[in-house]
Amino acid sequence: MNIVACVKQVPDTEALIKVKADGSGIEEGGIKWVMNPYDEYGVEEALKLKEKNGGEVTIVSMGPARAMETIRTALAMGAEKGIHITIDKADEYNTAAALAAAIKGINPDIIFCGQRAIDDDSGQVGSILAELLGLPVVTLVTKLEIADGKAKAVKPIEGAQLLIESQMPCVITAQKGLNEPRYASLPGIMKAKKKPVDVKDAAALGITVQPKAKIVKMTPPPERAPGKIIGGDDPAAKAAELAKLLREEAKVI
Amino acid sequence: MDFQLSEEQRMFKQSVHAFADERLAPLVEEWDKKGAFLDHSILSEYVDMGLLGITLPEKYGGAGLTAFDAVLAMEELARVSPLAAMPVFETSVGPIRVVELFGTEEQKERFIPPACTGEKLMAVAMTEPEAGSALTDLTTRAVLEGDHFVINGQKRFITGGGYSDYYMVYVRMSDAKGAKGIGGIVVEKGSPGFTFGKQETFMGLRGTPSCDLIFEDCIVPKENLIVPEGGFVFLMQAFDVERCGNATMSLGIAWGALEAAKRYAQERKAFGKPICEFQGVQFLLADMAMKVEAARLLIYRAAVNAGLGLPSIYESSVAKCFANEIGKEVTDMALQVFGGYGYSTEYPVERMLRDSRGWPVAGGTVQMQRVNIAGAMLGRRFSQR
Repeated sequence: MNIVACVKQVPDTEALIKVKADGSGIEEGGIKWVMNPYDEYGVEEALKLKEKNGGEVTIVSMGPARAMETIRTALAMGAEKGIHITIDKADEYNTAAALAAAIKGINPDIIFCGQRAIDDDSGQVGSILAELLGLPVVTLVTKLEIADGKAKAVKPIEGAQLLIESQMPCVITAQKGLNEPRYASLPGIMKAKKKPVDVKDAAALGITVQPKAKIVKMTPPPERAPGKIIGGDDPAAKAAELAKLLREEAKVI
Repeated sequence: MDFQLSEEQRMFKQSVHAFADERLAPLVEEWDKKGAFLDHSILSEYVDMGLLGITLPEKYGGAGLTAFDAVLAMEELARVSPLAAMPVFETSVGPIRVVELFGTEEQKERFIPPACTGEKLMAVAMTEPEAGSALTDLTTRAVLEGDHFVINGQKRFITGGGYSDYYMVYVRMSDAKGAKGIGGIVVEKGSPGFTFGKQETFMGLRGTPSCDLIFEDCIVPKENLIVPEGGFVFLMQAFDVERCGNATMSLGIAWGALEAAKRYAQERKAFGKPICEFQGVQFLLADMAMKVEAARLLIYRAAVNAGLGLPSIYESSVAKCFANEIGKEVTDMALQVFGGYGYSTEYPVERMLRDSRGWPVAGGTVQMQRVNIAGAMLGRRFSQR
C-alpha cells in the first residue's frame, strides 16, 4: 500500500502560550514544538496499515525549518520517507493546496490527516485536501478497517456512531481513540537520520500562496472570573442555594 | 565546547520523556506503596523502545551507543522514579558491561543478547555482611573442582536479588591478599546450593528487589568465570561507568523534585498570591536549579569524555559524589516548598526524598568518592588499611 500521513508541528500542549503584544500571533521563543497529537493517530494508523499490508508510508509536512524535526519523529516511528514543504505558514486553503501538490505525484491508496491541529483548531485541511485531489473524505474516524479495496471507517456522532464505507483512495481524518501512537524507539531514531526527506518550496511545487483568509488579530482569552464558594453546614440548603445561583446568576439552568 | 545535544539525542530524550510520563509515572505510587516490582509486561515496552543495552554492541542486540546516551535515558526515567531507570542502569552501565569488557566471545554471545531482550537480566553481587567500603575484605570463596567451581559464602544488599536471572558474583579465588585474589563468576538463578535471603525493607527505593545471596557448596560451571583471579584490579575502570549511572539516579530524582516544586509553587496560593511570588520560595527554587544544573554538567562531562570507552575515576567520582549530595538537598528543599503537603505521603516529594537517600550509600559511599577524588587530585593512592 502506498500511504501518506500529513503532519503539522504545533506548540506542546503543555507549553505556556503568550499572545504577542501586537496581536499578530504567539510568542514563539522558548516554546517546545511537537507533532500535532491528532496527526500522531494518523501516523500510527498509517504504520499499522503498512505493517499489515506491506508498502510504504510517506510523511508530508508544511512548515518552517523546525518542522523537519517533526518529520524525523514520524520517520523514527517507522515511516519510510518524508516531504518537507518549506512554506512557513498559510491559510487552510493554501496549506491544503500545497499538500495536494506534494501528494499528487505519489498516487497514494490512502491519506491520513489529524482531524484538526491543536494550535489553530480549524479542522479544515483534511477536507480541503480531499476536495482538491478529488477524493472522498471521512472525518473524525475512531476505527478503520481496509478490506476488499474499501475503507470501512467508524465515526462517532451525537448519541450513535456511523459505519462509513468509502471507496479508495480516500482521505481519513484521525480522531482520538483511533489507536495508541507508539513512541519513537532508539533504533528507529538512529535509522530516521538516513531516511530520505524531499525539501520543496512553493516554486518547486508549482504553486503560489495567495491567502484567501487571514488572521486579523489574536487576543488572549479573558481572565476567568473568581469562583464562588457556597458556605454553610446543611447539604440540602447548599444544594438549593447552588440551584438558585445557577438559575438566577449564571443563568445556565 | 558545544553544549547542544544532537538532533537524535533530543528526539530520544523527548520520546523517553513521554514514555516515562505516560506509561511509567502512573505506576510509581504502587511500586512505592505496595513494594511491587517492575513487571515483565512493562519491561517488554522498554525493549520496544530500545532502552535495554544502549551501550552494548549491536552484534549482540544492543544499540552500540555511548554511556552518555544511556545517561540521557536514565535521567529522564529517574525523573519519575529511580526504579523506572533500573532496567537501563542494569543493561547499560551495570555488570553486563563487565561481560562485554572482560568476557570471551562465547560468554558475550551467551549473556548479552538475553539482557538486550529483557529475558535475563544480570545483577551484581559484591557487598558482604563484613565487606562494604572495604570491599577487598570479601570472603565468599570459589574453589575450582574439575569442570566446576564450588562457591561458599554470603552476599548482602544485592539489588535485583531473587528477581534477576544472572548474578555477577565477586569471589575470593585463592589466598592471595586484597584485590589480587578476587575474580568474578556468573551464577545462574536455580544453581544447586544457591538460595536467597528475605527481601530487605529499605527507607526508599521500595519495590526494588534486594536481598542476601547465600551460597552453600553452590556448583557453577567453570565456563561462567568472567573476571579471572586478579582481574578485579582492572575492573575498577568499569566501576567508573557505573558511577556515572549511580550519579544519574540522583540527578534524575533531584530534577523530578525540582519540576514538582516549580509546578506547585505556581499553583499554591498564600496571602492571596501564588507562592512563587515570594522571594523565600524563589530562592529555594533557584538554589535547587543551580544544584541540578551543576550535577548535570559534571555527569555529562564524565559520560561524554568516556566516549565509547570508559571515563576517568576523577571525573566520575566528582560527578557521583556531587550528584548524590545534591540529590538529598534538592529533594529536601522541594519538600520545604510543598510545606505540610510535602511531608504527606499523598504527595510525591517525600518519596523522592527517601529515594534520594540510597545513592550516597550505594555503589561506593560519598566518603569513598572523596578519597578517590583526593587521590586522583594529588596523584597518590591512599590505602585505607
